[in-house]
Amino acid sequence: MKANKLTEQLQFKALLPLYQYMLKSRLLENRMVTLQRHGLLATYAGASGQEALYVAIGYLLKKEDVHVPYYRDQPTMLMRGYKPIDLIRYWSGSEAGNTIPYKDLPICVPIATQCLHAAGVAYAQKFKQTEQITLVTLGDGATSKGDFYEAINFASLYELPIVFVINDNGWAISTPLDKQTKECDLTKKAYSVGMKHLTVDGTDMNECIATLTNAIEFARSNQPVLIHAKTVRLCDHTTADDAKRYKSKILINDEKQQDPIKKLKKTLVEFYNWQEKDDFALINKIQKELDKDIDTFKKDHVQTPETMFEHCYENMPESLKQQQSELNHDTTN
Amino acid sequence: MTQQIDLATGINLGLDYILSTNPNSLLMGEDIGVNGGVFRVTDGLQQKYGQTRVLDTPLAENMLAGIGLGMATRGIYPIIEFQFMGFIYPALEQIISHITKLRKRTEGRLSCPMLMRTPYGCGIYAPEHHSESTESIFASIPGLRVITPSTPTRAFELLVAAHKVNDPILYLEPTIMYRSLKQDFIAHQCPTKIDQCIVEQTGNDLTLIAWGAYMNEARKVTDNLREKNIHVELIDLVSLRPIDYPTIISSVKKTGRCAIIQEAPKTLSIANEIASNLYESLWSKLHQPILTVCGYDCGVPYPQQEQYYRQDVNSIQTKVLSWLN
Repeated sequence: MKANKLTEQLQFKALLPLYQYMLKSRLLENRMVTLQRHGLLATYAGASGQEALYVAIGYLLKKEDVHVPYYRDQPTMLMRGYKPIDLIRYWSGSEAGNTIPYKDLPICVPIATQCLHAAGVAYAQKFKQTEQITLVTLGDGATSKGDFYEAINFASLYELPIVFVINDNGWAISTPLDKQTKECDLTKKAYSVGMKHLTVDGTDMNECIATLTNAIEFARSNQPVLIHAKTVRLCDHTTADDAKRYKSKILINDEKQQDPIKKLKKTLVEFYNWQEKDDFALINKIQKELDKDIDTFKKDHVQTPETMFEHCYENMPESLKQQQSELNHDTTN
Repeated sequence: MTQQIDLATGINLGLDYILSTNPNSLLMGEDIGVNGGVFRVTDGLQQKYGQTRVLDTPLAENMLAGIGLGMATRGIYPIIEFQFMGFIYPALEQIISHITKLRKRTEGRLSCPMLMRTPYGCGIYAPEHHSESTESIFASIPGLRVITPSTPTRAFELLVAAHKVNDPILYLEPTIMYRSLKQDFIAHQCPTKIDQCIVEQTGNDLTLIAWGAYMNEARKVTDNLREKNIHVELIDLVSLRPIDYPTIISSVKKTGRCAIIQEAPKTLSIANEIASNLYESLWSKLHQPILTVCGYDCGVPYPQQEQYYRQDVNSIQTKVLSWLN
């Protein structure tokens, strides 16, 4: 799909909010990195370079559907009810940031384990005849793990309403895809379980919308789909990483040419008379919103120590209550 | 007429009860449907409830646990059968990092009520990896509950009670007891708390603690010692996590002596855990050091040597008597 063949869905009115969410995520990411460098966040994993894919997912999923993220899904999460403050709190090291507005699952850190959770959710959706679907994301490195294979096998076998989206940004921390697998066309992984599969340029909003629309339609009729989305990771793996150790300057520059925000901006400028002053005003507006969230975060009360015992069980066992009271005793003395 | 049942039947009746009373519950595992499970514990349930509620799944234990989590977050109550305890280990990441943490990670917004069942323990001369007793690994996992029955009736009651607790639970089934112990099935409506010990016999001379399959030996030792005028307070631990210390401490405070017997290897075990807590709580009240009779740290050997690993009644009784003297 080319930019000059935009579908009705993607006329300006629809396209502008998508651009806004992409920018919002990128600007939040920049602020997050600064907060981390100032010691206010623990570690942060960004999504820059991958915003078109994630915003398209957020745009196409219905509220009742279930999004099962890994840890690079910030743009989708912002579209599904998470506020920047929630994500700031999460990366600062507080469970209070794991708000689940639509009963989506929380960020998942161990690799590929979320694929199985998603297949379980999809089984429940079909079991309860809900007409909802599940969409789960994973990185390219996750395709090396058994959880991924076990999940696509189960989903295909039981014909579940689910879309698996591989965000192939080319790198699992420092390991490139051709060191993960001999078969770098990741749609081939679907062959072995008899699952539908699609490939998409994950930096191109139009392609993402078109491909995901197809996939979601299949999933709604209980035909699970695997999508191999090719993206670029314009950030380090996390704030604890330095990509310059394993990416050449040439590659880093090449990846910047694939920046999905620049690509969509170009479309807006060429086809919809979007101007620099519009861009500037939009960025200013978003930054002001983020200022408010960061101010709120800085005024947050630190969690009280005894709360770490809560929610381990539905009802706290006696032995845990005793340890909680020992802690209270220790902290008040 | 009262029905005589064995442990496997008690579990089958419990599963049947849950499936019939909770339409959102389902069973899944390997060979549990058409075949009724390798020990026939789920016999007849797929025929009764259909393939969407009793699933013969692909052969992947990690998958069972991970999918169970997804289902549980949508209001399905999954009951997972791991075919043998020695095959659960691939699922440990799902159990430790997700299933037992989901409630805490979301501050209670999502939770993971589910039941994982597995046979455990030696004594049936099964091939290697089929006779594990590694309960202490699971009893060390925050957020998990670990329970084990020691009679057919208790197997039923515990299962039904567990289903009402909204936490992930590992339900350990003593393999050797599946068909060896028969009992009148009487207590349909009897509510059971899943985190409390059961004091089976009261006595003033010593507290004897066991669980699962070793309750057989513990009961016989208790009877034999009574003939020697030694009165044992016999406790079925039932819940390996959390451990019901109030009941245990109250008993040992009374008797001043405590012996703990377990099939699992000694190092970092539940027997040692209980002993350590009793020393902390009751040091001055103990008449003598606590006795632990445990499996050896070599782990369960191949079937040819199993008889040397597993302590029989005579061996346990001799150790208890020698300790008392």
